[in-house]
Amino acid sequence: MELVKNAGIWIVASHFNGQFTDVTYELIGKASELGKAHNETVTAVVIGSDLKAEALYHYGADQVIYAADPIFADFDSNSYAIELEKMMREYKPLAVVFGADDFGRDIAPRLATKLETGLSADCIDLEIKEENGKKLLIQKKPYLNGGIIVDIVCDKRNPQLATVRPGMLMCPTPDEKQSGEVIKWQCSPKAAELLTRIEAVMQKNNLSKDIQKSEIIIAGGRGFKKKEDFEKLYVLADLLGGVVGATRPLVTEGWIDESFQIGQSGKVVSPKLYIGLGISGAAQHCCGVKNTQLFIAVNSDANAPIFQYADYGYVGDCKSFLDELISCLK
Amino acid sequence: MKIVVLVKQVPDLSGDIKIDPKTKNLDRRDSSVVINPYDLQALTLALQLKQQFNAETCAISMGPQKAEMALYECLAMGIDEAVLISDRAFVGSDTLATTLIIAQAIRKKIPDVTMILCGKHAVDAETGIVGPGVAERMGLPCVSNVCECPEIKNGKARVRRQSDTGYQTVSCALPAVFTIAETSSEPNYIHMNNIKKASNAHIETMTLASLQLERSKVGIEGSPTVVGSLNLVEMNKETVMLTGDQKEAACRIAALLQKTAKGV
Ligand SMILES: Cc1cc2nc3c(=O)[nH]c(=O)nc-3n(C[C@H](O)[C@H](O)[C@H](O)COP(=O)(O)OP(=O)(O)OC[C@H]3O[C@@H](n4cnc5c(N)ncnc54)[C@H](O)[C@@H]3O)c2cc1C
Ligand SMILES: Nc1ncnc2c1ncn2[C@@H]1O[C@H](COP(=O)(O)O)[C@@H](O)[C@H]1O
Repeated sequence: MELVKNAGIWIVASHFNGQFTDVTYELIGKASELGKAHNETVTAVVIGSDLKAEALYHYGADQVIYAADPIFADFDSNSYAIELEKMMREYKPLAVVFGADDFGRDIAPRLATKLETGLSADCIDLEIKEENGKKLLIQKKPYLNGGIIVDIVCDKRNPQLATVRPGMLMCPTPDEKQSGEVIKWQCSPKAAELLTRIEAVMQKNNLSKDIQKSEIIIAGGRGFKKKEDFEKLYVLADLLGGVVGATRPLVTEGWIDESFQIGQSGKVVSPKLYIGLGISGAAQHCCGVKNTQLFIAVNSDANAPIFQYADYGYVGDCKSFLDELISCLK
Repeated sequence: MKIVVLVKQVPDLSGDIKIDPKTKNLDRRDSSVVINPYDLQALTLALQLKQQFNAETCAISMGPQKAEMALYECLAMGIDEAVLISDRAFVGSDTLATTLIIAQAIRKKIPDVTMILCGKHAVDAETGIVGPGVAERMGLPCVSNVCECPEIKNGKARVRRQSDTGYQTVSCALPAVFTIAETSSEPNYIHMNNIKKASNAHIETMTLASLQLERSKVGIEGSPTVVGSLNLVEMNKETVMLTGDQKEAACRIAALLQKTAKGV
């Protein structure tokens, strides 16, 4: 199969432990949507070793190209970027999109520098606008703690590069009937190109309760004065089938693991239901809560900023309110 | 051992931020500037390594003249030397131009640098591009989200980094670029005798001319990304404040919760 040149949207697949990440699928979904509307093919590119690259067809990629080599077994941004640069120079796609994860955050800046092109990082959405015969990738990026969304474009150079935060786009439902042949990219990476070596991995074992995937989040803040009061949130979470999250001070306090911290330096979540108890609503926390259908806040201070984000609010003590809520639900 | 710390002055976003609805810029009337919080962590690590290995430390910042204040603060914390990169020609530089300028400044000022530390991202624009971009420009390894540097030996470093799924131990040859996430250490307090030293210190300024860069590669001209329209995020939702006693309110919320939870 011949790959299209000078066009198309490329997605760089990220993977961990032999599995593609969800953001890879989310990006393929978005790119297919944009590709259909603007007549562009969607190419997923995989760099790695021992991966089942054909799976990416199920999510809507038109083409999958795979650079496989044992040298690529462990992630290293330098060697990955060198290979990607070769592909980009040959195919000159319109746009290349990465997840804003361990892969994208490290490779995309290297690739942008090599190709002397623009990159915007940590976008929350992408659009395409056609202007003077050029298809512009509109990169929607939050600025100043999410108070503003800025549209960034790179109108003079190609490819247009962006990284997109995980969890911001819809994940398409895989369809096994959509399939194709994986195009092998001939490569011969050199060991000397590996600049970093992963020596040990310590994985968090609570990934089964991934807060980013949860549709119901019960979050607590410093309004809880004692750890045992805060821990009653788990009772509520169990009743509703949700996951407990927290603000940064509680993570610092050691009351909850940092993988459950919501916000700028924690996780960005987009649950259907978010209830925040005893949380002031600092921008650094609230910028991590997106696209809720129902946002409920309880705080003893009627002027707490969290009420600006809430659909329903109640001014009162979070501890006794929580007890009351639990007994109403039981 | 020579350590460079990249420091950016950013608006203080820890309090309430206000955005001017007309200009859609940060309302700076009552906002102050601070050192990017992750850069403070990088400075802290640099000072630890200074103590441990007798390293020479240098802070570099690119920005307007007032970014000097951030550099004086670095000196007062115990950093040995500071360089300000400032020139009208640099105004409007995006990350591509910024990494070109910063990499050139490091090459000129400290050609035999051992380690370049920067923040994992700046809290104003949150790109996290500058660290890996500088590494690429200088042909160096880069490890991002570093929270500890437990070993430096025989021209190699072993660091602990936060990954998407936990922690990793990564090794690489030096010189290298590390972007620093939250570390467990408290930032250094400012010492009286460092303040004295800082106030007498000379901060070198580097310009387009002294860096010998092409005008067309920096500033707006050298920046491929363009900021298009700005959209204010409306946070003032229609909030329904529940009144009445706690029991009543709790039961109403319980009903809402149950309804939404069922739809999930
Ligand atoms: C660079 C940077 C990154 C950050 N990243 C994050 C992040 O990722 N996530 C994050 O959460 N924070 C983050 N922060 C911290 C953030 O700025 C806030 O400090 C934090 O979110 C506040 O947490 P809180 O609401 O639990 O505590 P507080 O701000 O102390 O608020 C407690 C609230 O509880 C209310 N309260 C008190 N008693 C009661 C009671 N009995 N009943 C009901 N309500 C009560 C109070 O009125 C108050 O509104 C970051 C800060 C910086 C500078
Ligand atoms: N203008 C600048 N001057 C010095 N260091 C910078 C500058 N911009 C970014 N940096 C460094 O790069 C890091 C990441 O910034 P950014 O890529 O803008 O998110 C910051 O934490 C700083 O350490």
